[in-house]
Amino acid sequence: MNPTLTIKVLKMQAQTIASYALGSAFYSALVVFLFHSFIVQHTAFFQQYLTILPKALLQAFNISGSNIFTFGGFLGAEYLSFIWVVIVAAFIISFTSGAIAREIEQGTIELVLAYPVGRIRFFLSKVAALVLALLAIVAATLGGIWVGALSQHIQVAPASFFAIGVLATAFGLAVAGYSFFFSAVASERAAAAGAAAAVTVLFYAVNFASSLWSQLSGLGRLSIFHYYSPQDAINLGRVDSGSFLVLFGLALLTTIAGAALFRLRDLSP
Amino acid sequence: MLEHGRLICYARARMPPIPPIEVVSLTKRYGRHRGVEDLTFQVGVGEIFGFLGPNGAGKTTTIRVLVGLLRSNGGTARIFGRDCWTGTERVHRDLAFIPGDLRLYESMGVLEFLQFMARLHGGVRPRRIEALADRLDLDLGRTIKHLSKGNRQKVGLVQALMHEAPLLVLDEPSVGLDPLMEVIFMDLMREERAAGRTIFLSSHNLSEVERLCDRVAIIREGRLVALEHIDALKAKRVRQMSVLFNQPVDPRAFERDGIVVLDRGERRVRLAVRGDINPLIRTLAAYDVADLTFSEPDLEDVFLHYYKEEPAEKVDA
Repeated sequence: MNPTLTIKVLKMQAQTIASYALGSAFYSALVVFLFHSFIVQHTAFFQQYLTILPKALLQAFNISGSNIFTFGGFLGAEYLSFIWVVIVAAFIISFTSGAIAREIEQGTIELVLAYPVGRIRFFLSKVAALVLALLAIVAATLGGIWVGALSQHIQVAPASFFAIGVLATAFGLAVAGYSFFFSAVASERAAAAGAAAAVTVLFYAVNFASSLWSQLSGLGRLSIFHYYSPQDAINLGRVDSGSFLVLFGLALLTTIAGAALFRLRDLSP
Repeated sequence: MLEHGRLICYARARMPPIPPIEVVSLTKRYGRHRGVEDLTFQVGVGEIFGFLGPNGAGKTTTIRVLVGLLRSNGGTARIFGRDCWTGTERVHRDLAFIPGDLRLYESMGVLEFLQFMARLHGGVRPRRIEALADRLDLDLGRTIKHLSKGNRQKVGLVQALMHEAPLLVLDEPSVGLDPLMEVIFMDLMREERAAGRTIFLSSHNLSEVERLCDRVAIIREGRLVALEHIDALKAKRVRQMSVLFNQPVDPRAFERDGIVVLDRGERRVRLAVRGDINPLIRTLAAYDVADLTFSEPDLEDVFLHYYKEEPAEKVDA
């Protein structure tokens, strides 16, 4: 890893990272506020409302049974299971495709890699910058939840914060892993971003289909969304170790594969 | 132990210096498309080496292999004895580079960019950046996205020269510079050479190459077609001589190996001369010559000759 490169990337992306982090903090605080207003104060009305929604829609937002009436269930359904995923995946895909594929496309990589940096260190410097940015966004999200809960006098166990922090980071790293892989092998930003977005949508579709149709339930294990259950992390205050290992393992494997291919490929715009 | 150390030092002193660039049978293909084919040449220490060729000849491919951006399909490319692909990181410590299509980080300030690049190389001498910027009249306070083509090229020059690396690989380094800056650029190149640095210069600016380079290599369609000292290269070309005599002459008297009569008048003869001119001078000495003009071919003639004709045979370094 080269700290100079990591710092440069973070400085150039500082505004974007801050926007995503603040946006996520604000939205998570808002959802906590809504939980208190809708669920706690109008439970009966909300229960009735849920009965008229199609099952597929509820499934799409990971809403099942009475789970939605818990703090974790509501936060998961209204933010962490879907909207947070969309926001963070968009950030990660944009960041990773810009980190390598755009440098190849624009030709800036020609000059930087003529310096004594080394391709693997160049790659890992970008990965380190993404990890720090992701941690900042996850921390801001947790901060928003904490502020919201504090203002509404909702007790959230520290273990729940820790669990959702770990799970969200592992999920983000998994998306980052294959996004970096595509960025390392592509020569155009659009191609890298498109491939990473397509895989993310495919993962979501597989998980959605497997939870909707029992015949496809086995397929769910092929999706990263199967291992990402923020509701359980908050309500139980722990992360399933198997889920964590799958997400983290995928991140590790795809990052290593991306680094190896980046080391061996020809680089020219 | 001391004796042993002295022996090593003595042995090293007796060894020929490692060439800054050594390319042997280098081949690079892009799938079925040709990049370069069986390229062999060497660049010596302290030399300014011109690398010429028309667009698409393989110059940039060769440079990208040297810089470690492309992996060759065959042959070797070494910088100071180290393989350009397997030893890239070590190679890059001894190398400064300007790409042909220089791209910079648009949102950075000029000084910020140069300091960033300096840190990537482990730092530069204090005031080195400012001194070079002064020479090239480059405003360090500007943002890169607001710079003209010429000023961007100056940023590229400063980033290459600030490291004082023993080898400079420069792909079209003076593109976009105004004539005044070109003069300063050439002065800087001469100073680099005087400081013992080696320069590998790819350029379309033939007068620049002619004035700066010691030797040139010309590639065409991926193959080396000429590799010589500039003077020797020019000497091989046909030069034109126009002779005005004080009395009528028979032009056939001048027709011999390497000399062709192009035009004849009663007292004036125009000749095309290739190679050694001494036999012609000896012949002319027997006549009463009123005037004589002899045009030396410039590099452009040489260059165009190699580009216009059918592919020449491969030249061994």
